Amino acid sequence: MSTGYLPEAIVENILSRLPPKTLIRFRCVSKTWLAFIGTPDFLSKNILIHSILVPNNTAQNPNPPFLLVKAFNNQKHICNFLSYDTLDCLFHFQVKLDFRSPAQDVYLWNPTTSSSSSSSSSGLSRLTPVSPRPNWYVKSVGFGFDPISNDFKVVRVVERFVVFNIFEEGLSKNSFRKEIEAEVYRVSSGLWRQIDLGPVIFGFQWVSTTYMNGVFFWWTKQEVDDKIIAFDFSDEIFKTTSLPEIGNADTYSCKLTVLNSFVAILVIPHDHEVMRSCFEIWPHFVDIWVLIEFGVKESWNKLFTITTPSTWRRPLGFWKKGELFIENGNNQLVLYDPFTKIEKNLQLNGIEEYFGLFPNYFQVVP
Amino acid sequence: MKFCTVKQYFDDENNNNVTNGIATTVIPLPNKHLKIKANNKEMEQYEQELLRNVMPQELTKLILAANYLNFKEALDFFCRTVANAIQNKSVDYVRKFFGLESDFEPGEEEKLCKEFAWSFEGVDED
Repeated sequence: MSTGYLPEAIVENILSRLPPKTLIRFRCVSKTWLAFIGTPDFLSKNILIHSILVPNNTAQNPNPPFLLVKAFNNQKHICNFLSYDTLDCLFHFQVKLDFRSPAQDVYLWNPTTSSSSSSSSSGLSRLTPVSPRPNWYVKSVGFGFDPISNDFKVVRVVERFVVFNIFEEGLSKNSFRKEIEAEVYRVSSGLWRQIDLGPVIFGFQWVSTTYMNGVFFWWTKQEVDDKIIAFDFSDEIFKTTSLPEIGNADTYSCKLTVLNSFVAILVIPHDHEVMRSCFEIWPHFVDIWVLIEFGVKESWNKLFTITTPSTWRRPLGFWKKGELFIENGNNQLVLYDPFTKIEKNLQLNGIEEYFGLFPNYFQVVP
Repeated sequence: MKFCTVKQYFDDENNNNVTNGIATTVIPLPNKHLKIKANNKEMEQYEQELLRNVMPQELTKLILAANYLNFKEALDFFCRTVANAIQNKSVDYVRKFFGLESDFEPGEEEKLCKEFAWSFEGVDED
């Protein structure tokens, strides 16, 4: 290899510390660097894949302290807080949630104020309904932590239809317009504040949500172009990014998640003839895409396609270094290593359909 | 052992690998390391001070010196510094820095740059 001033081992030392965007650009330096840095092929152990799968700058993007694994049965929410490093179960709660007006109010729950960390509580403790707005329909809600103001915040997008009379051709008619607003609630102040939605459109419904480092993400279905919307709790601004070309909207089910410090999507294509509910994915494939730079559609990379074994129900999200959490057919949580193809049953049972996994970035103080 | 190579350096008479200027920067490092062993923040500050007056190009020489002296901590530190320095730089800058030349066929490089044009956004001016 034409090494220039420095030997290869040292160049590797330097390159292995660079983020993916820089590495992709530096592939244009020379043919040798192109081969050296590699392509985003999940199973290769090259410098580029390493920069995506392994956190480099842990000061800026720290690993979350916990993983919250939630299962749902009737009205009971079963929450397990696992240590992110060891996957040991640190806290366990069971909460029965009984709401009066299910779709309109936002509730906050602080698990640290529940009766005790290891017992199950059958009722709610310390929930505050957060100012409902009558006649407004809650379109989307996000929750997160702003490290700059050191405060928990809730973001809410509400919508309503306003009916009004118009005169047209001598007749009085009813017409309506749609009004949409966004607001942010700060837990420290207990107050809502209206904010600018900007050019962001929230579409019909959100398909999937995720959270990372003070930013909440929604995947929303829109008429023409699905988008991922991000809300940064620190600067309270909405941003969007387009999705890669993954095919027709009717033919896949999908999950938004994070891999390391990047937004990732798990896409499960459906066979038209064998159209099942999106929770039964066998025999199918899971495509894993990663977004290197938010807002740049071209920076999506399809990392990998996993052929799903028949025991799987659906993928839930990533752990460290690309390992995947899966819900299997017995409602159990399984950890899958795509490199070794080995599955490890984590002995956590979920019940019924809803089995969610949330990287929890909040410091829970017992 | 960190200090074996240093001893060898002083024993060698015609040593072209490490010039005097570089030696005065690198060699005090082990002592400082031992003094501030677990205190990362202090070490960081010391390192920032040290490199304030060093031009990025000199870093290559520092790296080679640390490599020759078999001094892993200094080598890692210098590599980390170089990585931070070049993170936002252009392809041309990096070529000059590492002493490399493009060995692409005509048109090959252009094709690559076009395909990954987004990764060139926000790059520092040379």
